Amino acid sequence: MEPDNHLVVKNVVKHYPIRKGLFSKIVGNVHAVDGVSFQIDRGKTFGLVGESGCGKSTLARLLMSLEPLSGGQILYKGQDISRFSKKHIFEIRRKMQLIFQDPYSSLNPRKSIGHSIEAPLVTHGIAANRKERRELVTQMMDEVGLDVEQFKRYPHEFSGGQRQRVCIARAMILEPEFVLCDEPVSALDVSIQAQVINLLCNLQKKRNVTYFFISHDLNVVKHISDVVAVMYLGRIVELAPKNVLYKRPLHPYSQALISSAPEVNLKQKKKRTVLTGDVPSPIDPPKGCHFCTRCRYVEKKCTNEPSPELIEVEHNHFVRCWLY
Amino acid sequence: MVGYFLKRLAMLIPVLLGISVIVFFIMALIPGDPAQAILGSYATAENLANLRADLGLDKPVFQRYFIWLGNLLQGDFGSSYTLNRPVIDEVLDRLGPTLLLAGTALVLCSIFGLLIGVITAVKQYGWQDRFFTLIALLGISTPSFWLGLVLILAFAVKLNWFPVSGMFAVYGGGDLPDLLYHLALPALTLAAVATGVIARLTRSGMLEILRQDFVLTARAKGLSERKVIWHHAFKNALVNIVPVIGIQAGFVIGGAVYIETVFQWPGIGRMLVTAITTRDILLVQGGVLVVATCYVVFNLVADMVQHLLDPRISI
Amino acid sequence: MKENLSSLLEVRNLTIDFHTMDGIARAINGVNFSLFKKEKIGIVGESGCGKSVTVLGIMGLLQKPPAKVREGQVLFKGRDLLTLPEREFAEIRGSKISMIFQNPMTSLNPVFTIGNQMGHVIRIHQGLRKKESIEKAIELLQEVGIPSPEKRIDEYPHQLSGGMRQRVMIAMAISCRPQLIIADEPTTALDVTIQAQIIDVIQDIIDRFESSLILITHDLAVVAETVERVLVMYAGKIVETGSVQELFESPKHPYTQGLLGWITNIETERGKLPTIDGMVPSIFNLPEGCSFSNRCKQCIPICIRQEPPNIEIKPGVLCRCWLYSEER
Repeated sequence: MEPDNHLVVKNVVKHYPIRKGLFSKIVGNVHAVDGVSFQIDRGKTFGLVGESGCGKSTLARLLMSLEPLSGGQILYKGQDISRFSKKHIFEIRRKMQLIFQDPYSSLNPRKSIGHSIEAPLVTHGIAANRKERRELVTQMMDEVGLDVEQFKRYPHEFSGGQRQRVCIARAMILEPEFVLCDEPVSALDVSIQAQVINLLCNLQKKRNVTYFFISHDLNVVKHISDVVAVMYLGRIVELAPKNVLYKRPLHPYSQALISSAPEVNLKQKKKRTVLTGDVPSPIDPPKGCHFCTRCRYVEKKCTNEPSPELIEVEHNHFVRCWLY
Repeated sequence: MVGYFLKRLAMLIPVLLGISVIVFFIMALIPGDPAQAILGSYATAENLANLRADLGLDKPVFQRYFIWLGNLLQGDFGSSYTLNRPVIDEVLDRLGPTLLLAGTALVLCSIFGLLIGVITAVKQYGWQDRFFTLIALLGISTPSFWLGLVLILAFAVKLNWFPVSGMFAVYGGGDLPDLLYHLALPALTLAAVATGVIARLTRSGMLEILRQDFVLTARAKGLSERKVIWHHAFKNALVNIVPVIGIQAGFVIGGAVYIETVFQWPGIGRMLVTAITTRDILLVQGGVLVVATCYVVFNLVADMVQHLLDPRISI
Repeated sequence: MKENLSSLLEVRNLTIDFHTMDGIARAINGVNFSLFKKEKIGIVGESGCGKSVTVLGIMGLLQKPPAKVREGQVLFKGRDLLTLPEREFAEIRGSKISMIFQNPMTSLNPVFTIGNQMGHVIRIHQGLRKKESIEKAIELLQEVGIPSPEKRIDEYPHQLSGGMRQRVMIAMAISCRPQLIIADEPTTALDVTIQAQIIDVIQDIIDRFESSLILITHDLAVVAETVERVLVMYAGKIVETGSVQELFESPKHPYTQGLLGWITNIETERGKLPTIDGMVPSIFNLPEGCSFSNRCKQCIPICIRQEPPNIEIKPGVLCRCWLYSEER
């Protein structure tokens, strides 16, 4: 299949001003997302890993046009959706859907799950009448593994895994082309995680959906993604096909991140690179490379000169580090 | 901290200006003619017109407001025609008894409210919880003027434990025990509603805090239950209750108006009631402005205390 | 096995019910295990399996009601903690047995300084004066790797990062040199790189202070790296016990096999993950036979009828499953 650049993100920036004092003067900026660029091909899964506060959730909100950009472009099938009007955004939402982390709070407790799944159809005026809508809903419920009998049940009667299935059904019923999954399995139990991941994979195969998959769980991202990006303090520090990245991470941060992930391997205890210290504040990120405060290989250049660019060191493998 | 305090003080200015507008125009809009009230119903039209001109009532209402405001800024609240003395003197004379009554009520409702709240939370669903919850609900839902009358009937008229009304005994009183003796019933009456409100909020606040992880940590450290509740949980709960006490302080001052009437307490409330019935507009305006200022200041103080208690609010 | 070491903690047939509006729920049912001095064990299971209830029960920290200890004993150095008067029990908590909780963001009291909270526990158990207790606290913060502890001591929890707060919790837990540390999901709420730091700190502390450890987690990988022996819990019961090697190399119980299948597969290629179908049964309404029977792929008729016995497959390896019984 020819890659058709389903979503192209160009140098996206998001700053939040910090106001202080009597006249709410802007005294600084939180650099939540600081120049992020990547592209996703149709039907593929783009995995994004990073620790809390690295800007991955902000990036997700920007991609879904839930917040205005401070700079850069988001091209969806060649159209710059970041400059869209409200009406256009509403239309594009049909094609771009969202699945949240917490299946407990993302469903309306007073709405039966059937109605929750049906709601997007009503909003977007799809299907001619009630009967047709019901048919689509029951089909969808069947597809995500929910019992059609449960149409009239309420969210509190469901377990976390089933609720996440409801959320998935609600997102998929509009037949979107792009689905952003923000930590969709983090709140679930281990034995249920596998069920939900399998479901997401099946749906992708059947419908050729593009996933943007955010997680802090490296193993989950490794399993589901085609391409993985590692984010640190608002910037992508490494981007590569998953096998390349997990086998041979190049950026010191990716190396530390991947080696920190606990693993069930008793035969050879792996040598871990444990990072010292904490992530610096995004209000006042280090000058130069953002990782320089915790990096083992730090040199003068890293702290003094402006941050290195994301460069392609080998085919499709991008790294933002002076070492390469 | 100091900067924040100054900012809050600066914010008092527009608030007080707003209050002055509301007070002035409400008094200007309600029916009733001060000139008529002064001269009586047999006054001639000419005399009425002359008096109106003297009082400045013939000028447009906006102009009157700015004249009044201008005088206020110079500390001149005008003078009361029924009492023939400057409004400010009368109001300040009356403020003392009102603050004494309201302050006592506030101390009472804080102590009882917090205590009942903590007990009912710790003994959730126990008999103590049920009993005190009932008392608190009674406190909230009983109109205070009625409660005042019932207390007078029971403890003053029937049992003769407390005096029926007033601030001091007519003969031979005037010392502290006499004052406290007179203060007891009105202060209790005034505190009843606020006690109920504070108790309910303390209960729910404590219940929420007691579910928090750090309470479990405190228990796991081996602290006694008493320390866990009063040292760890209560201080956290207090952070959210202090502003409520600030608001209750406002209600207590407002409630003083009718409690003072019921108990013949010589405070601002009773003064206001008389002034309203005699259309003594300047006195009403002055009195309400001072009461409103007290309200705002109480809330400010409550906010400051909350900031001192909670290190997370950085200012 | 460490036969020559005497056991520090022995939990015998611990059964805890929760009395709720919806009826009585059996949160844990006949939990038996023992822990030796300097031994590190892990309790693994999914949410609601009873692992937290077990340790809170050991610590006497369950809210009663709704919780009620139906039967069982918790012998700590031969003394049954559950029959101790509250005063004596409180003296043990935080000094002989201490606990580290899951969420460092909410486990410290937000309105007191670090020094205040740490000093408190040192004072009540060691009778030190305020100044000495603060000095001791600074020393402890140094032990757990907090930079410039003399400055941190006067800060409030919200001024510290999650990792730092968890270090404070650890410092507080070791302040009286406890013989047993219970860590309830100590890394779950933390980021991956911070997780690795905290696991290292806990390992280091346990070894240096010669304490025993009970580590509770849902993450099998964390267990594999940290402890020597593992208990797997499911629906309120321990279904499998064994050394880490034994458990990961040849898991016995179908539930353990399922959990491990997921973990080893997700680390490898993309494809269909092996799953455990269905859901954990409600503790209000457990199946009659084996609690896992409704999800088990190897279920045989007796599993539905009768509860499986706890079978010792080889020394130190116990499994609650009919597949290993000769009576089936």
